[in-house]
Amino acid sequence: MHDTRSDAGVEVVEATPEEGVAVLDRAAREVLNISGDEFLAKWDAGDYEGMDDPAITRVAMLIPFAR
Amino acid sequence: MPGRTPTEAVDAFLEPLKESLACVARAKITLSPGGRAIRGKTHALTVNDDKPISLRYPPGAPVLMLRVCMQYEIVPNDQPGQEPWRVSTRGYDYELQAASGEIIWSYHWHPGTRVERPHIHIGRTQLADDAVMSAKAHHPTDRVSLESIIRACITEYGADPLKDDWDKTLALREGLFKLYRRWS
Repeated sequence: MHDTRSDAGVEVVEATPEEGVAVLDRAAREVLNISGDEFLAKWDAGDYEGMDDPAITRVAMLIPFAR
Repeated sequence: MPGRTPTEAVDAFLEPLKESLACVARAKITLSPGGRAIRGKTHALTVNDDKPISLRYPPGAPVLMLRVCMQYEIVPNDQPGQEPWRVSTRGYDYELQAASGEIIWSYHWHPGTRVERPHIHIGRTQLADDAVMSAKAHHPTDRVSLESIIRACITEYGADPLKDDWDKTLALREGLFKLYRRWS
């Protein structure tokens, strides 16, 4: 992480690309029991289209961390 | 709020989030790579590495936790007379959890999917076995601010504020949110 700023007890950091990939991977494993790469492949393939599972949404919100 | 540069616009976007979060937690906001300056791309932020924040409660009281994730984009500001860059929120996921990790509710907005409008999911532990509602159902809401979520954690769910001036802070930040938002 770099560019740490702190104010009022809340700090802000920007993830490195490697750390970003790890954020998505951790969430995909924890919530869907698959790797981040597997999640992205399924996402790109449209496997989740039309699915209304909040768990998928939770992981999808983190896609910008890996791309 | 707008800024003279993309980075200034991101800082202006983050400032109210930081002040509002500080009302209930000492926390860390993590931006996705490039999230402070890169334009033309959707960024994300998480709080405490996407782990729920433990809210503070009096000794012996059940502890609830808040998980926060947002998406945003740095965009040109087309408002005359204002700074040239602003940040536009592209989605959010605000989730209240029990200490066990069970979801109590989650406020979502994730345009580009089947359910375009903001909505709430009610956690399955909050529903009776024979409930008509389900945890997967999307119940429509207006756009919800992080400030209003934090206020609800304090006023409706009994979390102890960490700042004496939390009410004023949240009111001020909520007012700015309403002033600069482009839709509700």
